Amino acid sequence: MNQSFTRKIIYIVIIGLLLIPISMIAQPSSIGGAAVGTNDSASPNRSQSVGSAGGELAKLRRDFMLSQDQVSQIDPTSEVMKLVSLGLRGVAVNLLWGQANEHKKNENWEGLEATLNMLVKVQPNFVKVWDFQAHNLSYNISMEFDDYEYRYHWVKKGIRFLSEGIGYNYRDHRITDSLGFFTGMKIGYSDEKVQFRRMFRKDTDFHNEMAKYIEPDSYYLREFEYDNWKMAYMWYQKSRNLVENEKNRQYKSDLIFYMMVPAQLRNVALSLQKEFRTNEAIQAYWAQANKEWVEYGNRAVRDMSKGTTTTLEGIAELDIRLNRLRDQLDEMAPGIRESLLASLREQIGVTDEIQAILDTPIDQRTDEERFKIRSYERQLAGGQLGIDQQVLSTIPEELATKGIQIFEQMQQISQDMSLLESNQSISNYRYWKTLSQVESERTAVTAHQQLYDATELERKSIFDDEYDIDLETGDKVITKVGAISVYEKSFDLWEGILTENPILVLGKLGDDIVDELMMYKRMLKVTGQKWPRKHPLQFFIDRRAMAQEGDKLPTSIDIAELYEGVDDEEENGPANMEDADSPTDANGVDSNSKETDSSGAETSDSDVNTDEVDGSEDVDGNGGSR
Amino acid sequence: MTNIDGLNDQFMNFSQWLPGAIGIFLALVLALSLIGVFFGFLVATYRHGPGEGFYIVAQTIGQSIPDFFGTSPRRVMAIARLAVKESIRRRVVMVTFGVFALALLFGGWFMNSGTDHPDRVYVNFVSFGTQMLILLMGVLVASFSLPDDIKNKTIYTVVTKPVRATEIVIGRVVGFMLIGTTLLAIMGLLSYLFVIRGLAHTHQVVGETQSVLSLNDIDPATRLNQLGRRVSASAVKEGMTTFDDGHRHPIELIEDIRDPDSLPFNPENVVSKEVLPDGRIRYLRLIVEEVSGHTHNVKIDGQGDDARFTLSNSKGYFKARVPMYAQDLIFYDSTGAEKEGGINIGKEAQVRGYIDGGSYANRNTLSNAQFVFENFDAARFDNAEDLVLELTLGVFRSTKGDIQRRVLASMQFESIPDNPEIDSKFVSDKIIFETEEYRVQIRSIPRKQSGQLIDRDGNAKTGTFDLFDDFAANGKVKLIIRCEDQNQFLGMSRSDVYFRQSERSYGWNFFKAFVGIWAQMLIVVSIAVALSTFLSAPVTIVGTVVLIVIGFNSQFIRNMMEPENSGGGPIESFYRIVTQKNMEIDLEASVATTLLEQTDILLVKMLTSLTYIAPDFSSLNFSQLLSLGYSIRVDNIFVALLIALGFFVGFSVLGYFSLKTREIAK
Repeated sequence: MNQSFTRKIIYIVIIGLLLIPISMIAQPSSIGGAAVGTNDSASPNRSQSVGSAGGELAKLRRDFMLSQDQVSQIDPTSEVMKLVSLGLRGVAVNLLWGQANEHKKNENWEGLEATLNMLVKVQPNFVKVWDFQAHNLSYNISMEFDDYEYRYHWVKKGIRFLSEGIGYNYRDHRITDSLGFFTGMKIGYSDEKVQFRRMFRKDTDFHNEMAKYIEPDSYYLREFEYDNWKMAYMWYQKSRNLVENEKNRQYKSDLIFYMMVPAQLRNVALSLQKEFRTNEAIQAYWAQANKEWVEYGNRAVRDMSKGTTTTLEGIAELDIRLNRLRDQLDEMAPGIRESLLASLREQIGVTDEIQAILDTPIDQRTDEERFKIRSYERQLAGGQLGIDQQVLSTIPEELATKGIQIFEQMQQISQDMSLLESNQSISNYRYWKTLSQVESERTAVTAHQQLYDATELERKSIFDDEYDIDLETGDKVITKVGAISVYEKSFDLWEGILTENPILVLGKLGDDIVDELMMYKRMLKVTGQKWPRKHPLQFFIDRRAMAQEGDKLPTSIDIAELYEGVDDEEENGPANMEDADSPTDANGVDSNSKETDSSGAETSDSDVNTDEVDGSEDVDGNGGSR
Repeated sequence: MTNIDGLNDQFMNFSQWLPGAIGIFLALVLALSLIGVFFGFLVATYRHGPGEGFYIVAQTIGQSIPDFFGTSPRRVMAIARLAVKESIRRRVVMVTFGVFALALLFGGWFMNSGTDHPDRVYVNFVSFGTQMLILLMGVLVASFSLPDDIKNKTIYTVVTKPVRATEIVIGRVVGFMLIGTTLLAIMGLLSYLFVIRGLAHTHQVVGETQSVLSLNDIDPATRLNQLGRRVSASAVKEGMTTFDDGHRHPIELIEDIRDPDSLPFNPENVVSKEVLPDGRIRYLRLIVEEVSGHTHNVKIDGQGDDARFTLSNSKGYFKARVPMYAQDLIFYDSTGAEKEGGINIGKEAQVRGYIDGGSYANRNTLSNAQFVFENFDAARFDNAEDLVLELTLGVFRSTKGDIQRRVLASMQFESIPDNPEIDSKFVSDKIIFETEEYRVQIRSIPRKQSGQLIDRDGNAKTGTFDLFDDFAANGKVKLIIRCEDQNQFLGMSRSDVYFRQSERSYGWNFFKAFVGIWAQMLIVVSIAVALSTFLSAPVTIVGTVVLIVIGFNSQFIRNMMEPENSGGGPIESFYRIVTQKNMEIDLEASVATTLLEQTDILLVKMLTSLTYIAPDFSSLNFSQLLSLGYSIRVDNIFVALLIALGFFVGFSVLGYFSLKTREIAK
């Protein structure tokens, strides 16, 4: 009896003692314990200082981001679900994934949604699960619906779903990144972007709901109301905050990670100027986008493979250093380079453009010019440092060691420059820098306004100018300007911009201008006019044709054919566009044209073209809708 | 958003089902009795030698006949009373009820989280919860009873009395069913109240006045409302309700111009009425748009700008529609040739067949789908003057098309003459409408249809014809659906287009769904009591649960036998998972592979045969119909009850014999 009592006491004491290490290991941290110090609205509890850091397990959980490490963050439903699965969490997860797939297969969308909500309760710290399933909702399921309003509804469901993941993974920027991607790209870049953005602009319920993560005022753009790109900007800002200020792990390379924030600002401006008449506000967004983009260009970017740090804007400095070394090399072998270059240029030739750049002092060259010279030099001597190598080989022996040293430095710089160039092309840095620069200037604003006005006139089917003729003098007084002449005014402005910035010929702006030219061409056809013999943007069209962009606009060759044997006097007479169109009329109606324009011109246009429209045009570029 | 894949069973009638079911039942009874007799003979032979064994088996069978026919209801009820007392003493019933009550109390917290069909979530929650709890309770009370009695020897106080073994078994089943039924009735009633009350809500109109002044004019140029959504073509003003229960409704003030002699309509939502110079009447009516499966009635006090709006309680959640499905659905391809199952557009679950709207190259496609309705009789409809057609068409776009507009479809009625060569044919005018994918589209079809009467020579006479008396004079009519958008496709299955014959009471439908659960409970209790006559309580529980699990997955298990299933049976698929082998790659030929495959075949065969003994719970589960708002057919209830009765009889016989062969019952 006594013995048994003693034994029980011993057991109790041992249990009590064991509780001490267990509590040390397993104690959860309380509010503020893991104080990482942030004012981030997505993580309201973490900046307070009272509380304990918790036991060893809590620390491990925190370090490896395995689960909720603070008592205050624990979600009862989630914990209950995990407990109910009695340690068979893996099995439960598998069953639920299977069930989710089954629901998707059977198009049982509510079932799918309910299953997903359950799934993330059992697997809340697996970021990919949130990401994958939110993508499923926003992309794969939304597009199952025929009606764009339902599509929008499901895009929001995906965003909402993903945003719930923040609470469980508040230190992981991949969730906020995906949120930025969904709100930006899915709403602002899909086939239904016009409709989606229109609804987003007014969707106060949604914005109120999201207010716990992002203050709606931060993406409210006064007359343009709520903007999805600006919201995406805020999401990416959050990611940046997580990495920069809170020192959390960064999952993407610097080049991509830091590109996202300024890129959204540019998208704000790009979308707005398509939807509204460009004004000072939009111009200011462009200026801001340019500023942030250049800041990104000046930011130190780590190269993962080499461990070196560079800036995208640093290419100019490298170029100057390279040329300084080149001068040093030339000093050792005077006159060699000139003679080599002379003979090589004789073989290949030099254009006026290149000559002009060569005449510009190195530190005054633009990036664009530098790029051209580098390509030219590569072409000249079969490689970047081809000539330098030849110069090196002629250096007197006593200077050879120093010469080789210099050459090796040049090689290093040249390699860095190539890397920078490839980095620049990854983010399309030079293009966007030039575009945002150009767009923030007055000329582009006016040019855009004219394009917008022309489109509006076209929508009202006002193609030609209306004018009164003074019967006595025979003078024409224009009373109402038509779309065609507004277009032409705008094209004049674009000519200047594109000549100055040839980099813009290909790419987003070029594509947009082509759309406008197509509309212009259609109006010419409807009004029975010919494509002008000297169009201000002819060089642009030719340049794009050379790059095989497939624009289906008349090139100089087509124009020459069209006007072959036609006298100047006849030029104004009634001629039709069909001749010039021969290679292109199948595309009389372009599916990329303004989706909103259902009235006016399109009707009259199709009246003219009904017999020529090729069935294939519908298929072009539309495959993505399903 | 309706996927009614499970509803195809709806097409089978009780009378069609019965002969086949009786056949299977008799075959099973015969097979199992033979096995039982053989097995009994083996055991008896082992104990007493073959001669004696044969005698014992014959004696047992001989004795069973008076036992079966002499079963007294009075004694059965006495045993049942004991069973009831016993199960109340066990407290399982109380615990079950407690868990259920807790779930109802707190379940509401997690359910209104922005789903598109809260009604379905609610109904599925209560029906699934009740089903699971009731079945679990059934297993527990039934499994412990007999084994405990035998263990505690309290069974002797019963068997020493003049009671038959049949009465012990049946009495227990009846007793447990009595207690289960009471509990189920309470749970059903509470569930019903929970669903009805949980979804009840109303809204106010956003704005200060609750009148027309709170509504905004619609910009005639864009015809887009506050949320950037589209509005009806006839809307003149629009507004919004307040945000309650996780949603809000758009409100529209609709201009409705009617002839003075037109059909009367619900005057409750008329805000103003004005006689136009041409004698027609212009009504302005307030419409609350449907959101997540329901809407609200509007009550209007006063006239014009002073009229004040009051929105009623939610309406439309609780439906029990009686659909009239087509007897047949025939697809025709773009050349007009019949195409089995329609066009396959590559959906994984090929529930629907598709028809095309033509392409640029082939504008005059002949593709269409024809729903053939038989016994199309005015007497079958509650309101034969104005029929209700419901559609859930699927849409597949092969090009972007016009994003602003939904894909267009058309429908047309055509008579089916008995002698097509001689008889004239009625063809109605085409009605073109915008589809609405994943939503039940409700269209009103007037009995009088304008159309043509085409005689055998092709001469057409236009006029207005009666859908029942002219079109379906022989009881048959077909509804032709076409896709009216080039390059787009429309999908449908037989259950996607139907006439709503009538609307039944939702409470009655709820009751019928719970009868399904009752039938499941009867089966589970019968199985558990029968097994407990020769197994200990824990083994009984495991055995019953295994049978339930098989019952719930019987379709899946039977599908495993299908040759087109890749990945193999249980062992092969386990092997593939462990070795990370693709489902499609053949395993290398070896003795081990053959062994593995043959074992799998054996295992799957065994499992498949078990599915015929285990109840197929899916045919007893009506919660899907209930949650989708279709009336559960009485035929289906009969089927469920008969299946349950079959199991009850079968397992009672098993229980009787096994109890009979044990020493205690002699």
